[in-house]
Amino acid sequence: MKADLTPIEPSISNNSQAFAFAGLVLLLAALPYLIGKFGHVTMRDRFLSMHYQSGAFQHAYWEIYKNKLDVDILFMGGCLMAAGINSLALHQHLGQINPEMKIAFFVVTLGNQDADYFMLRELLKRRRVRFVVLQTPSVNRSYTTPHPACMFWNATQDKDMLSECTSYLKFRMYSQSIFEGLRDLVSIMRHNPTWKLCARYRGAIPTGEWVRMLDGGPFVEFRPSPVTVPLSELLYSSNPGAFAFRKNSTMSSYNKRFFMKTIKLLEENEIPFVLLHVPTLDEQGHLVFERDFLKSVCEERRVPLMGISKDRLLGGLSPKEQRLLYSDLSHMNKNGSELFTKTILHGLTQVYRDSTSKH
Amino acid sequence: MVPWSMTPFDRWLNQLTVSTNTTHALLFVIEFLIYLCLAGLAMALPERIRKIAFLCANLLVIALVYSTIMGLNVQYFARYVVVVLCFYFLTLKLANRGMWLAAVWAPILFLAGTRYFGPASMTYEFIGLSYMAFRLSQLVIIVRNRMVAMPSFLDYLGFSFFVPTLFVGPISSYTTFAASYSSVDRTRFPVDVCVQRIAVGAVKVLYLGAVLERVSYSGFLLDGNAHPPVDLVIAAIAYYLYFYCNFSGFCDVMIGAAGLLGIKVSENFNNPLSARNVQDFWNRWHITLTNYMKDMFFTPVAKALVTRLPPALSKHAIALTILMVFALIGLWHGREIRYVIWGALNGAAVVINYYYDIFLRRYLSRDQLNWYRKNRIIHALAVVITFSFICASLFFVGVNSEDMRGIFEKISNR
Repeated sequence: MKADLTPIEPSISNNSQAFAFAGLVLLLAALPYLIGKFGHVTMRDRFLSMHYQSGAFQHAYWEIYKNKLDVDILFMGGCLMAAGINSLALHQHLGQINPEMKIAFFVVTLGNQDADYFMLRELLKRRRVRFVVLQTPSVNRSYTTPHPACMFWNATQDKDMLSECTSYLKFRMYSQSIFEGLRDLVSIMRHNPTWKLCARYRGAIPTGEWVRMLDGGPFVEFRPSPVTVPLSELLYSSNPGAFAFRKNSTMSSYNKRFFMKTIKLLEENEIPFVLLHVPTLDEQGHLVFERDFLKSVCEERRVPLMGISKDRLLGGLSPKEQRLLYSDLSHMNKNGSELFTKTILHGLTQVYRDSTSKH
Repeated sequence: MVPWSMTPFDRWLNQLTVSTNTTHALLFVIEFLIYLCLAGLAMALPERIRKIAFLCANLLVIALVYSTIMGLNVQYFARYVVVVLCFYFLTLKLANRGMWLAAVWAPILFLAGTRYFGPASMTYEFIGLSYMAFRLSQLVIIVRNRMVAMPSFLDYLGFSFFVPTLFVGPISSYTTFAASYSSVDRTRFPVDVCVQRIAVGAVKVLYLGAVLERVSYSGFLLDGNAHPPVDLVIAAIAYYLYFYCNFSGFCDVMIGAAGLLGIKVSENFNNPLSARNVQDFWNRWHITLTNYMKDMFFTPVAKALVTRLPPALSKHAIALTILMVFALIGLWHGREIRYVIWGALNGAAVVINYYYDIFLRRYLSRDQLNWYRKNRIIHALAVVITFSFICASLFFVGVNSEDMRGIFEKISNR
């Protein structure tokens, strides 16, 4: 307890310590480059090292690399779709139409279009997809930087990614991958566990884990009857008055480019698709609000856009009852997803049948 | 994960950064620089107003940390200040009546009350209370032993809310603080050495720690994927190194920052990775905590037990005291049972080492003992065993009980 009057000690007191410290820092900084050059960590390896909070990538891995069956309907989107589509209700309904129907989900968090694009690209190399439901870009798709998944997917060496990135983004991606260097080294030293892991995820709702993280308070079961909405009311092409397009809505050019690349990829592969709007609790009025750039996409490229406004979906319910359908202001809970899925199912099935019969 | 509700400032930061961790790191750096400027200016003022300006700089930056990094309302900080003021007046009153023991225990009882009986959120509402409580209780002993006079109101608050020791220690004593605070001797704190400490510390926290975290428990073993058993070993080693980089790096930054202000903060680490045994580890790891526990608990309790028990039992009395001290260290780290297990494991290891040392002294001659201690192979083996033990025991610190179950299920269900 005596006063410590000694002078401050340096962290590094000699040259060998300084060289060792600098060497360690530089080695870690160069690790992504060295692994890219000499190691063989592929995008496939990285699916199995993604943190579950970034998205259901283990499930996506199984769908892309392990499952060989054709996909009848593929759902792709972010957290809104993950929370809004009830896979149980979907399977029950579609199973009645065709018990053999195969549905796949690719849902990621954060909301960048690039991850969707890469997953789709990888899937289409391996499996035949008959129809795709794409979530319309959600509000937070304003990020100007790549999704963490893309940073870890060896994206710095992917031509598709490099063509979309500025030098600054490439630098950002490299600096992010530095933090993954040791994780990649582990992947090289011992193989990532594969099929046993994926077998456990098979059949599970892929988003269950992270949807639980949303702060929704205690869950109260509430199952209002779904309204019967004809397809003509759900589609922008037949009911443009129900849709409104916000001007100056934020979506980064980076994400826009990847969104358009996704659409182009689907068109090139002649896969029919529909854009699906998932209503949030904070939407106001009876209109389906979307980003202004989607209007031109839908009209010029004849991309089908489908959606239902919050008022139409939750019509007749008190604000208190409406709250029981959502985990927070944006994301539906089990009650909400069941209502939404059942409401759009007939329309969605019809679009699927119409689109696939044409092809 | 990016939080669902962000302030405009958060959004602006998110344009620059990727994750909230990075955002917090950037905020920390900004607030740290603000602190250095304000506190540095305060220390350059004439003595008359220096103390009050210094106190204001500290309080202002802590309030900033509360409202930004901690995301708490500043009223929590105001409550914290009131609590410390109460400690001051209570200490004065109890000291005047000669009730020193009560004055020593007051901050510790408050800490125990908030940590073990209050809501879990209280731990976050009183940032660094565990360090504060220890420093303030130690201060009472120092004053009672007449090593320093009872600090003035401003000195007491200045010491309590001294930013470099508030958040994660070190538990630097008031004697050390007062000696440099009242008469600043810049020759002991060369600017280049201080800046080097800050730079190396920052690299350890923000870079090495972040890289290691990605292969430790939270970033690796708990990523939602299945893992082979070898990953548990990788994660355990990485967690120890991450913990070391993070904790010692933060202490480096704070010691360097305090040095720039001309104030001495005690060293907290002395290359613990090279510890030869667990006792040696605790003399190198969180040194100020070890010294505190030695002064405040081990010495008085061991002395009391040894004098009351027959001489034949004195060794066992010391061993029992060691176990008690480590159980307390475990309890101090958190309210969950896993921390007590961690403390007890370390205590048991130190006790084993204590008896082993007695055994060696009894059965080996002085020359043999010297040979044993200087033998490089034995030394290397001892370092490896100690390192492995610390890695394994930190499992109870790095993983909460729910995740522990998850980890073993994942590994066993492969």
